[in-house]
Amino acid sequence: MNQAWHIQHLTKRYQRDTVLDGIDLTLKASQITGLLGVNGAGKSSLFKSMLGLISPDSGTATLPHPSSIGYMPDLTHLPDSLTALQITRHALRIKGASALLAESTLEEIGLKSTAWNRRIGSYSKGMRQRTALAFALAGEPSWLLLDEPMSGLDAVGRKQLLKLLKLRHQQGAGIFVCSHIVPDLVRLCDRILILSNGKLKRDMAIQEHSMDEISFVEDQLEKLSHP
Amino acid sequence: MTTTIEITRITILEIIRMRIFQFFAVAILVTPIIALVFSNIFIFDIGKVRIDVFAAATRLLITSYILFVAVTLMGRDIGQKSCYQFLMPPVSRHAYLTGRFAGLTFCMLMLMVVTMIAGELLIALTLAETTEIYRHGITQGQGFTLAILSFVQHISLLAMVIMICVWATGLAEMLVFSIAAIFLSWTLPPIIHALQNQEVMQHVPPLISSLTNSIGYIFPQLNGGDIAVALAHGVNINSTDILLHFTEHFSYALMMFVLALIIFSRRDL
Repeated sequence: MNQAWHIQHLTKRYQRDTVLDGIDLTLKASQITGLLGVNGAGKSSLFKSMLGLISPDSGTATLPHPSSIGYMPDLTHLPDSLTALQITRHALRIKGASALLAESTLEEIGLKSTAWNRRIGSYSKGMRQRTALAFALAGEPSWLLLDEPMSGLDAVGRKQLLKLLKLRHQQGAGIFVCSHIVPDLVRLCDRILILSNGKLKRDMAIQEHSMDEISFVEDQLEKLSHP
Repeated sequence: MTTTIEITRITILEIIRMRIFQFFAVAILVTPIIALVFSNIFIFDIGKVRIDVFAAATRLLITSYILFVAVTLMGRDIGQKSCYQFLMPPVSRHAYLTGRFAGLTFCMLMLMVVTMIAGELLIALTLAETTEIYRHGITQGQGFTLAILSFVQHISLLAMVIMICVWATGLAEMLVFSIAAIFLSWTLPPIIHALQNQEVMQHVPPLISSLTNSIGYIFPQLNGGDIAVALAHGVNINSTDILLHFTEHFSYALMMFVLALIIFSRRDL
């Protein structure tokens, strides 16, 4: 099993605005962890700090040992002139896997085979999202950090994605996912965190993945985000 | 190393599939025709005019490649955060930027090969249709020399622009600062060179003259015009000058790129 991801006293400020305020957290690879928060709560900043894309003002947030990570940012900007097949092959080679797995990776994320050799510039939002997912999932990384992966996907696509992420988790990948769609997160995750104004307000275990739990998490989110 | 090679490959693939890059390659091939048309205005200096027009036009196109391909690529990477997709372990920031630079340099090299072919065709045509008096010392092989020397100069320009891009925020800033730097690199060295003239130096206070010399040493000649002019006038460039030219530009490119790596590894993305 993969190593745990320890985040200690993480603080990030942009001028006078504190976007992350002393976050202490341990992510276990044995759980699928979800992150909830309203816009501007600090979710993307937490992801970026964990990945070293922004430097925290204090605290640490990186994995103690080098590990393969698949990250899907909230806004995907893949090269428009390339095709999904080309970009997936590159992602696989970068992660030391065989480029021959590109077709199966694209099949896995549900991108139509007729689109594989088309330029990404001609894709719809959902297709771009699926390609970005293929890029993140390629090479079976030990950790997956997904920022709004369901955004732009239709109902069928979201259902397929949840299934796929559960499968990847069973295969040993640690998953940390952030989304605004509470029902999807509750169905997928074993643990949900609520972030508000840069602070970690709630850490909840999800056991039944039921409608009652969805309602409870939605209430908690509303209560903690608008005190 | 594998990740650097892979980023280089993806950069090359990305660039060669861009229409603007394909346009630059075709435009370079068309340049000799423009040079032929333009030289008909002149009666005597046909060979000189052809090489001058060809060198100026290709230099402008390669500089446009740096501005519109390299800067927009870096602008998308940093400004629109598309680098997020790639900057995950095992890809380090150093590997990423090195791959980008290598890819951009390789594509520029491709444009230089096109320049070489177009230049040699222009020279062959000039040698075939003109007599000695109109050639102004042009010989076969000068298109090759022109392309190589110009390529070396543009590597340092590319490294300088990459350094500006990793420091700036947003495409607008990147473009403005890059254009300003290119403009200065074209205009400053000839002025400094003129100021370093012995007759001028005699009338300048010692402090100013040593300051001028210092700027002259640190600011490389990034304008390819001197070489084009030398070639157009049939001046042979000796091997020592070529060696110094290579050393100066590779050192400058290395210095700028190391600086770019330092800035890129420390900045928030």
